[in-house]
Amino acid sequence: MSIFEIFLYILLITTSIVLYRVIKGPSLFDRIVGINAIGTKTILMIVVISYVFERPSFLDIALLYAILNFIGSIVISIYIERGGVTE
Amino acid sequence: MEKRSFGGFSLLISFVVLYLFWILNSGRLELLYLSMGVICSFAIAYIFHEIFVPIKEPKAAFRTAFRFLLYIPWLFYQIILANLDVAKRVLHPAMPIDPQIIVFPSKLKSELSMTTLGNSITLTPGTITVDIDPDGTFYVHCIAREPAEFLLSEVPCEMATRVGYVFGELPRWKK
Amino acid sequence: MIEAIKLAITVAFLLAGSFFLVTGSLGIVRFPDTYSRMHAAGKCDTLGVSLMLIGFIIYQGLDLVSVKLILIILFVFFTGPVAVNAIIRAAINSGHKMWTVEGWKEWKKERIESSEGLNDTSG
Repeated sequence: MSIFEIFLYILLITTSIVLYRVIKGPSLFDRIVGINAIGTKTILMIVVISYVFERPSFLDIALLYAILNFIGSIVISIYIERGGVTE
Repeated sequence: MEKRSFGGFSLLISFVVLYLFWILNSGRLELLYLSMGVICSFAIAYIFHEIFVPIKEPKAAFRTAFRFLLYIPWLFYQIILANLDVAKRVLHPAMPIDPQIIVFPSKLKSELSMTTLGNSITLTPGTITVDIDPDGTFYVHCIAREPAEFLLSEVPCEMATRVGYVFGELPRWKK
Repeated sequence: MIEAIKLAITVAFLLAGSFFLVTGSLGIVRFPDTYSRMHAAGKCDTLGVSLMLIGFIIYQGLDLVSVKLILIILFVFFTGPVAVNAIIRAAINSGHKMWTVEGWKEWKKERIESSEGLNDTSG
């Protein structure tokens, strides 16, 4: 057992705390904030998993997930603000 | 003449950055991968170089990069202060918050400096940028009274002066 | 010996980062409205991710893998505030309401008055 597995459990608990807000959240924006925070923690989880299993190629997936998380938040907020993604 | 030299500079910078990114991500130094990287990064740099490097003169760009490196330690110190502030408010049983939205002018001119100031305000204690007008007016959501008073105490405030100095738009911050 | 010191520094950075991440999550649950929740999300996530990845960079040493970690730090550092700003602007422009101390006091007063009224009619 690697010492990094402990941090995997900590990140899992953190994600479940935010998941409460995503499920309960009174408004749409609370849910978007929660999804964004969960995405950030997922990046860290992938990095920790790559160290637990000793596979450095997982870091590429973490970088890709960072880009997707950012684009997802931007596109959803623009969609809500304008009622569509086109100008 | 002037315009052509600017275009060549930004094309060169964006090509070098993209090609470095390619090499660091692939990690292989064989001819096939290197030539594929040249083709891809040149195509992307040719199409998008005016968006990647929107800086008017090469000399000012190097000066800005140097001053930005000096700006980062101060920003990092402010980020740590901001996190301790949020942690204090979250863990306090009574939750001492008093949210309000304030408006202040920043006297910045270019889009790049206003974006930098907006991001810096979001990362520093107790404040989040809500909206920016094209003439440099900032709408900021403050979580309590003290950070709002800190931003409103002077025109332009300390952070706006520092960012303006980085981009060569305002004189150096003195205390 | 050097390995053990390196591991200790790494674990210290990881613990500091996870402390800020846990605080940010508690803030997202505990704060009363969307705008205050964004304070917790925007700040704590950026510093938490940076601290944990700096810990991994110290553990890894300087090679091609740690360069990827530095790229992730830079990306999160520059895009986190932008994403939060996009969400908060969408919320403001679609007329989402803000929690204020005055509004909270009024709501409480109305609540007490209405419950007193109920007591009067029932009694």
